[in-house]
Amino acid sequence: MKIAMLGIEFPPKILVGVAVHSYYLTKNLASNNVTIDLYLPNGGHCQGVNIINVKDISISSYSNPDISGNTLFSFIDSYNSALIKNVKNNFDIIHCHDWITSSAGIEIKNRTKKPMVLTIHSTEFDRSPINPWEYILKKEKIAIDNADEIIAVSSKTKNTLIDRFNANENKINVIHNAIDHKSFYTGKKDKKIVLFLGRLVNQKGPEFFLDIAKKVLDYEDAKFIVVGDGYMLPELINKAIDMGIENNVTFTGFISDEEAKRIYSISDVYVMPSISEPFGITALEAMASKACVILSKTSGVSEIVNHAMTCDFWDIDQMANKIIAILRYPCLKNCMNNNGLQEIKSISWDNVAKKTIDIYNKVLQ
Amino acid sequence: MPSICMYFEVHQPMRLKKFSIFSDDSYFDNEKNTGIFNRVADKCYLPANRLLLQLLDEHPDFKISFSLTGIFLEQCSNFPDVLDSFKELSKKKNVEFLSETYYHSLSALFHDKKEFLEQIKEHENIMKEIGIKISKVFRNTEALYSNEISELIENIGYEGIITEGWDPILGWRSPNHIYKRPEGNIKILLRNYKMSDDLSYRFSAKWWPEWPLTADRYSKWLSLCEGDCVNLFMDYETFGEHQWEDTGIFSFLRHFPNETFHYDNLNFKLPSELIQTYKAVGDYDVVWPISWADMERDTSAWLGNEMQKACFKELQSLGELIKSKNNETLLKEWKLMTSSDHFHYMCTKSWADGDVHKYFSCFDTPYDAFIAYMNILQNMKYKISKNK
Repeated sequence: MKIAMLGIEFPPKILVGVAVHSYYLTKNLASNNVTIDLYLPNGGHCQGVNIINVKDISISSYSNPDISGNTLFSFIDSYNSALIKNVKNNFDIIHCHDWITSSAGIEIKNRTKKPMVLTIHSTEFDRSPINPWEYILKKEKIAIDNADEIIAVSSKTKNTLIDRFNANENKINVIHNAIDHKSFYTGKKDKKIVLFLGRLVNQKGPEFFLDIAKKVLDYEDAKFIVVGDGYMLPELINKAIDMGIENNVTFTGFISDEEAKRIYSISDVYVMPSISEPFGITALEAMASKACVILSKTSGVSEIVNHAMTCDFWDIDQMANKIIAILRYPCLKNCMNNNGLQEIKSISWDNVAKKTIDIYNKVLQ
Repeated sequence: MPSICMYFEVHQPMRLKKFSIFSDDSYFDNEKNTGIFNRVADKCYLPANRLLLQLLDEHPDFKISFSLTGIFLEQCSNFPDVLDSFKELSKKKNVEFLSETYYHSLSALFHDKKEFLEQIKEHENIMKEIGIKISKVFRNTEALYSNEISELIENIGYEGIITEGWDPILGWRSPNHIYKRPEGNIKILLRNYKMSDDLSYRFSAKWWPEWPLTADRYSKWLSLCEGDCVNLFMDYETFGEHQWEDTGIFSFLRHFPNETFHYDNLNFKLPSELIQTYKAVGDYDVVWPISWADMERDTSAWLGNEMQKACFKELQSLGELIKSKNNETLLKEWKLMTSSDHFHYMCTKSWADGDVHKYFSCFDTPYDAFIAYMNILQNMKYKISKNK
């Protein structure tokens, strides 16, 4: 079985969960004897995977996290045209991720009469909950309608596809993301650190994190670390200063994978106050690093973990209440950490690959 | 000729609110408690009591026993028809009510046993108040039992005590006999967990090869049992709440007495009759506490993890503090915190038993259960410090 996978992100360039997903999925598909040509705009390396660096793109790099608007669209158009030219015809299934590479996917599907599998990591309704772009919604709708089988990263995402895109329920399969827990580690947790890690955009709820910090600081002395970059960074810094909590909040900006692992390892609590989170792979990363996890109820990852607490993203009091308890009672922290780590050990990418192969077999029948 | 002894535990906990560190209101979720009580009354207490009253009239030799916790009876004040139907049952000659702690508590495991004995007394008092006589047989919360607990109960005049017939303690011996404590005289009635769980746990399990279980087949199994008695001990909520009406549990119960009377070697006996009729055949030596809960049958359902242990320790030291003050309201609230149920919700055992804990819990996770419980203890502590 040979797959032509049309990628967009790959380590070390990580902006969203897609990169992590693509890396581990392709790696584990390869170890399950699936042949993969992975097409990427900026190359990469992964054992067993044939990575094809799609050149001749007018905008060569996709490294700026703030890439948006016209720049983003012309990059995507140019990348899709290059894919159409570059993708060879010697494959059995074409596999796209989200809408970004789907227009090339559809064209190649029509050209080769080969089936197309589409993984939905998030929709525009998740990324821009307040003001979704019509242009992207249309692209997503076309991609969803044209895919032969769809993989949704959570039941929540499956429901979004059915409710908001009128997708055919029968072709949507839920395969939750996983974690390579061995690549994370635990450090000394003696500084009472509460962590936010994600893009600083409305969807992720970073401003709630600051409200929560303010509330916690009335009761407990703790450090709040905001990891990530995004258009909201300046306003968040100003907000922290206005609230008078600037001495207890650190903004790191964009950091490397290795630095992220280190921060996870010394954090006591990881908070994900996302307004909308189709999956939320960072929650698994935090659990693998023995940080206690508090998730927004609207996250897909909460469908597969039992040893994390959930909360409404807007419920500052409840979030703060839980954080204070974790910081105060070592017994709570230990129970969550030990059980959490145990739990995620069974959530493996090998399983994701095996379930994905089932979808490939289904689409080939 | 095995005697069938049926005993049903009747209890509804006082569930806590999701009490946060910012909360400053009452600790108990009265709305939820009333809602659940109402549901269980409709599905279980009222229809099951009605059916049992009818069966007791139809079959003069059918016998059943109950114990009602104090907090169940407190909640009955909003449901007088439920209390009335239990009172009506208590007037029947073949119905017995057992003793237990008022608060369905873990107080038997406290370092200081005074509270345990006090809660038994409180239970005796409320039973007297509502006019239901209790027998000389005691059932501790969740059948928690040890030599130490047994001795305490014997010393205050009880003649029988209920617990689990647990293989590691029985060894090759059968639970279908009366046992005694080494160096004690109190008689021990052991639950036959295989036969009891066929009703309380497996009755509606479609994976079970014996499903669906009928009263005639079950009676046949009982008639084939060897020993003096087969003790069928379970939550009363088995009838209609844990096993819904559509599983056929009421129809089973309706036919059960009649089916057993087809067998000459079967009869029904009350717990107090068992201990008078049969001699103890041997010692049941329990050094560490056992219970009827979970696969382990120990205390790990309530005191298995660090959170539960921390709360248990804090609960006891807070108790001493409150008792040194003169604050009736806080003392009452503290006693309500001694219920085993609050600890059950904090259980993190993740295998098959985890499902049982999830089923009963009113919290999203054991961690939320811990936070609410600990916040309340701390709030009580704060109130005491202001009340100097």
